[in-house]
Amino acid sequence: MRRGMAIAALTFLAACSNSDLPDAFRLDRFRVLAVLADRAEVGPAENVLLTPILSDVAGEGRPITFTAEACLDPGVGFGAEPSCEESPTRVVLATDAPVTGLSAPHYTGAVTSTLSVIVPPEEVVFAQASERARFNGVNYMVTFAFSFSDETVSRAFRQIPVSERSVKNESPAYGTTPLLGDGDPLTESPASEVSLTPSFRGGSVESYEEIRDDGETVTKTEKLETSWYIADGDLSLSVTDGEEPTLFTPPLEAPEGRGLLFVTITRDGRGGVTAFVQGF
Amino acid sequence: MNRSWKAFIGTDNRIILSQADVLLPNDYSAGGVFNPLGSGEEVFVSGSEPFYEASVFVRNTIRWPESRWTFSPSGRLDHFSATGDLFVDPRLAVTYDASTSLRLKASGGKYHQAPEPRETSEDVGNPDLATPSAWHLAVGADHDFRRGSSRGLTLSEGLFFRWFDNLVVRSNEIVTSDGLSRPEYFNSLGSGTSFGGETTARWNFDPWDLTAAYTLLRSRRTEPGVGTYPAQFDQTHNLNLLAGVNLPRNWRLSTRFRFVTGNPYTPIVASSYDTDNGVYIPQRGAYYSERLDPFFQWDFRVDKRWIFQSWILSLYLDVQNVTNRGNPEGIQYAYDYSSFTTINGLPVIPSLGLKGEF
Repeated sequence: MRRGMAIAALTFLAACSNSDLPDAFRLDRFRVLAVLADRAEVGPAENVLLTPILSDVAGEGRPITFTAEACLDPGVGFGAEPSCEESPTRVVLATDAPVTGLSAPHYTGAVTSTLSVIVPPEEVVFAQASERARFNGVNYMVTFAFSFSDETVSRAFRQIPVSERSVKNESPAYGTTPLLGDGDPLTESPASEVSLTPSFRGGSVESYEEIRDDGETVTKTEKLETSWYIADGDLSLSVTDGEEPTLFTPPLEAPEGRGLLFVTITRDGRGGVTAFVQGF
Repeated sequence: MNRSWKAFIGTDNRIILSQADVLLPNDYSAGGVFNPLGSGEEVFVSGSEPFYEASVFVRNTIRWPESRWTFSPSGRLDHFSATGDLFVDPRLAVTYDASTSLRLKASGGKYHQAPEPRETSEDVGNPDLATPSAWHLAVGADHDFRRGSSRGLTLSEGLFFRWFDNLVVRSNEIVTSDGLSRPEYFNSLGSGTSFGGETTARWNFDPWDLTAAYTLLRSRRTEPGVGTYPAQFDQTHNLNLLAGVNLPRNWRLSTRFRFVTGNPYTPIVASSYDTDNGVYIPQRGAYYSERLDPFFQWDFRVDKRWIFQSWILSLYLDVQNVTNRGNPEGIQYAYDYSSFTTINGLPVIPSLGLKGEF
């Protein structure tokens, strides 16, 4: 018997999973990045012009068509499928219309095939809506289905807030130099790590009133959130708050036939969206 | 009460006190798949209503002298504040000693369980939910082949059946109440069944001891508009094998083998990009229509004991998941739900330990 035996305990822990999932920021397939609206919030029976921001870097100009429908929001925020198929307020806006405006070398940006949407009148859009819902706004939903020659379909939807507010929301806006690299305008393709920040025009962050579920009216301030997209290289953060930076690391080898690509989409959380595309 | 009749009475109470003033995103989940929180409508939750579940139960055991029968009638009175319901649930268990080594048994009864407080919340739930209920029935037998000794074989086997009603299920419907539309959040339209069989065998032939336990299960749930689908934790086969041997000089080797059918999951057949929130909304296929890979784990352990006059020193080497199998326990989806990877359980874990017993 050996006395003085030491207490020993060995535990080996290894990683539980290795994620090979794609990065949300990488533009390596067809992506709907945003749908801009010329008016972020409207009243009943008003008109809105929608402009999709698309990216199809790897598609190299392949033909894309889209179908669009509109209807009252079926309750997507509460789990309903974002579809107008069974809605009594369904309106077909476009059927197999060609997507135009995406050009070489990046095939990324605002398309010229815009969509004009007329919001239903008050008796439709506010049917069964409480006073609170009429003030805060109800959503009129526009669905998009983008189709390709190989019969794959990419779906997206945009909600148009419709309210009785006297002061309607406006989309945030970038400053004259929307994208800063290490604090300076990003005018050249970065060759080394660079800290990227969006730059906003004054007044982009709005204050607004909202009636809560308990009936109390509260004043809120928008929080801008920016989604970042690149085709090559790496990003430390794919979503940033306000003017929070994200660190871009360039790829080891430059992409063939094109330069680097940066896209920012900034949302105010209540329907206002703006976008900036910078290709080199 | 007397030598033939024993009665037990008891009470079982649960009170939940909470105070909330919080803005929450609606965390919609169906088929075990959550929508991204960023896509959920924000709801202001405010309140401090207490929830309580009060019950009184009576259990009886009746066995007349020289009788082979034992009857255990019981009842439970439940009141749930969440639904305002009051129930009296009758239950009965019966055993029959067919011989000194064989006991037959049967039991059944009605059960109720209150919905979770969140499910009946006026802010993020449905205050009109009914109380979920179930009927249980089980029959089985116990065999003891040891003839009074501690060595030998014992067997236990049984069949069980359960019928569920008023199960709370998630709803994405917008309903009209007092002329105004509001989300339903939950309803009580779920139902289900579970049935199966289980058997356990234990052998003790010193120095060996062996145990085998197996359960066969089929559990289904039904929702209007969805259909019938496997329950979230429906595990068709569940097998446990344990073996141990005591060796000379206080050595012991033991091992455990477990096999469980993979849990079902809901496949995602497509997704739609929510351009307002920058997230994708998954489109679910048939609920729980596919399964993760089976769970398989083999563990091994060696013990050595040194017995002294006033204490015992033990040294052990325990190796869990000897084959280092990556048992899937969950799913992590790509940002657009176009692919997924599994979240696996623990890898091989050897541990060396020393234990003193005084």
